[in-house]
Amino acid sequence: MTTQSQRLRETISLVSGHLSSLIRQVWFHPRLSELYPEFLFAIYGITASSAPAMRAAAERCSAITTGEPLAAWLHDYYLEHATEETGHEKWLLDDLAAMGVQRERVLQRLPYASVAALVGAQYYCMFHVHPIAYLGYIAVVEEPASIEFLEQVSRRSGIPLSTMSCHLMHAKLDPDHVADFNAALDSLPLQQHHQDLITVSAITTSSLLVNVFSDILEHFERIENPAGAETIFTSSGVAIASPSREF
Amino acid sequence: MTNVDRLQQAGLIQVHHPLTDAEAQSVNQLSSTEIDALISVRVKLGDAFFQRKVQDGDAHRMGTVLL
Repeated sequence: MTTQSQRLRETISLVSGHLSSLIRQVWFHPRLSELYPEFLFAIYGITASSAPAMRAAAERCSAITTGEPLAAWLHDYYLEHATEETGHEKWLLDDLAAMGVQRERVLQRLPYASVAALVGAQYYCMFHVHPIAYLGYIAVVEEPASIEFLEQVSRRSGIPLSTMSCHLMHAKLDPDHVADFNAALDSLPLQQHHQDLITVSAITTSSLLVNVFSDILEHFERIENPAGAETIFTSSGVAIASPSREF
Repeated sequence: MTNVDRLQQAGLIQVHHPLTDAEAQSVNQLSSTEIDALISVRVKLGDAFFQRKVQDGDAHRMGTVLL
């Protein structure tokens, strides 16, 4: 019998081909050492949103008053994971700083619109449909690279492991993350509409991540054109000096 | 019409990249809502989207993103 997690993973695999191809293009980019800061900047935008989004999802679970049996479980699950994820964006700031991209520049720069769309879609679902949708997002996004792979990347590209702390910490802390998530999902008494929403959320997440990784590659291509690269981050700092932004 | 039929009709399953029996079985277990979502995303992303024969081995080691 197919479990709920198997069903979800199989569906994700059907739609993840393009995303996997783009992620590979980033990791195997011939100028990865230069591209890497821009990659981290995109991931920073996603990671910084994780704990707040999980807390928001937990709050939405608290607001469910229809006797939904999953609400209490989801509330506790999201809060527990929000605690685990809190502060992980600081690893990315440290990694970027180690490559010459100062913290202030990262915080000043607007996130990719594609990152806002990725995360924003989840807020729509949790506020206007059901907070269980966030499980579909987690299923796609929470899969750390392996330590072996990261070490190979470092050797191949020359990127010091000391500037890969965010990836390495996730690889070390979360090696069983996918298995744990699958076990949790399989323990839930999901109804068809829950399954539908989780799957649609996962499909949406995969498609929106395609835009994020496309943006990373396209932004980096613009460094050859100074007129279009005033804020792009590279391993030598910022491609072109960015004017400070004040509100 | 099966789910596989719907995806084929929508152009998601390409002739030169047919589904395995296991994949077809998975697809046929999906609800109409889930199939609609697959089709709508495919339409947005274009023809390259379903070409998933790339570097499956790397895909697992690379991870997706991270949280």
